[in-house]
Amino acid sequence: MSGDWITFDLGRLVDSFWSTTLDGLTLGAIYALVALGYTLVYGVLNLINFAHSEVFIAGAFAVVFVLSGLGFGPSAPHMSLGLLILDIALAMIAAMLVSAGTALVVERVAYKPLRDKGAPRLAFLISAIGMSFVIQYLFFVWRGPSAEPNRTMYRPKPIFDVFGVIINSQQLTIIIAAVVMMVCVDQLVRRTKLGRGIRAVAQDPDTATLMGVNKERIIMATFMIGGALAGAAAVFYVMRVPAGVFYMGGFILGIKAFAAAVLGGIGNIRGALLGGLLIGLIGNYGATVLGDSQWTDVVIFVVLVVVLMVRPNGILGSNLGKVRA
Amino acid sequence: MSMLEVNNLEVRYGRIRAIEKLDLTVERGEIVTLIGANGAGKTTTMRAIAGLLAASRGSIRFEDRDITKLKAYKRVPLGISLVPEGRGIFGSMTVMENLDMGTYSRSGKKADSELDRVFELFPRLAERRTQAGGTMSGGEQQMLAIARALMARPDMLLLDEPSMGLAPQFIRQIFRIIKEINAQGTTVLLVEQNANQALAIANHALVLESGRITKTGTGRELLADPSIKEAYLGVA
Repeated sequence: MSGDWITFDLGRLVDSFWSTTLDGLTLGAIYALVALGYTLVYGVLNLINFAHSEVFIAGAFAVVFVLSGLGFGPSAPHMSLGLLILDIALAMIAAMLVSAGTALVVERVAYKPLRDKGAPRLAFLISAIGMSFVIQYLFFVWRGPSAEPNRTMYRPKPIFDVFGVIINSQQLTIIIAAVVMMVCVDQLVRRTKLGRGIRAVAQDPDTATLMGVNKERIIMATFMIGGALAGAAAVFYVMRVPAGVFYMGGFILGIKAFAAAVLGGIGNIRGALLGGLLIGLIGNYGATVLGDSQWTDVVIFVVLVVVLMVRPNGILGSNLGKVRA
Repeated sequence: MSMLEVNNLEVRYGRIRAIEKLDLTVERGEIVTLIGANGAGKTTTMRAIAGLLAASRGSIRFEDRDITKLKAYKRVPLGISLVPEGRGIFGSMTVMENLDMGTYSRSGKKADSELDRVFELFPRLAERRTQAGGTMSGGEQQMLAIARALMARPDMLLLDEPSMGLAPQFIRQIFRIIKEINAQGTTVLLVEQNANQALAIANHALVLESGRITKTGTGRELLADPSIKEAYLGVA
């Protein structure tokens, strides 16, 4: 460690502002999708599902396995665009199914029995952490400590150039797809019957039951929606962070996604989107200014703490039960 | 065959027996009132009939069907709706959204006629369709809670302390509306601490003390009963 272990240079950020911003938004979109899983479950059960990071990484493993099976390797394949889209779609469907399934298993194994017994909240927390470790170390035992080899779907190509800012195909895909998915979830919760059930259970589970809402089904659906979104995020994660698929990979990303949910206001769907994008941006700006990507997480959590001191309930505050249609 | 038959019902909270050996029948078209002091087991009884609490002994039959083990959310489409103590308004949903929640178990069917009916009973709700439930007064919330329960088109309406915490003019109005709902064909099981008015509108009434039924009779009989007068009607 030399004397310049930390440098502060705003000039670096000024020089690369737009590319730093775009990459921050790309990472932020991934955080946001994972953050939704934390927020939805928290909204309905007042529970932080710490195993959600493993729900996510299970999806990432699924992506890697499917891509391997389809013949993808470390370098970008030569194939037609149509076939590429089809392959990525297959990987995404597999990841969404695996993650949704994992989320459902976590719910049924770790939380449902406690709920039936009326266990105190601390018991759920311990169960959540335990479930997180169990899944992590299942992957450790199965796949070993090192990361899965890279599976490159395509080489990011510059698509267009706005005032000298180059947006590449990967950034565009990830940001647009993530935002579309988040809008879909937002609308699902606001407009559909399932969404009404979710909001009712979030506000008052007993009264929701008196309206004829099957609370258990709503809870399962909530876990599966959150899981499916984490699975979708896993595809983008493999695109953006190809070397990140290993047993602890979910933990690291999960903490940031959780921070995003808290920053935006836990239980708040739009808060998860906002928090995710902000975390992505803040981390990237901080790392650029301070000159080393190792600073990313430090900056993120310092900003999180400062924001929470000013707005303890997060930027957008309210919880899922308070969502207005 | 009675509409609702509760036999030898026992409900426990852990090791504590909240109600025991409770028998209760409600005939179709009646208003039945259950009175009792705080902690006597009135709310427990209502929640057990609605299915929010499990019976540890005994049985509940509704329209000749054993519903003792039936999940609470499945009792709603059978025709049982509970307006819970404390009203259970979804505070950040609007009046209309709260009413919509009442139709949750009847998905697909149009609820226009129910909506017309509740707006006729509660004109004030029609004026406040877009107001958030949580910002309404206690009396308005109680009206909304009853209206929302009616949206499910129940055959039997369970009302748990509808007059609690309300101003006198609201209480009179609520009791008038309960009679009206009953006259339109809905059977009512009513739990009240406001025994005077609750007994006055009741066909049958029961007194619950420490988890057991200690007295039954017509509403008028219990109103005239000296021990009831002393204990529940505030007359020495």
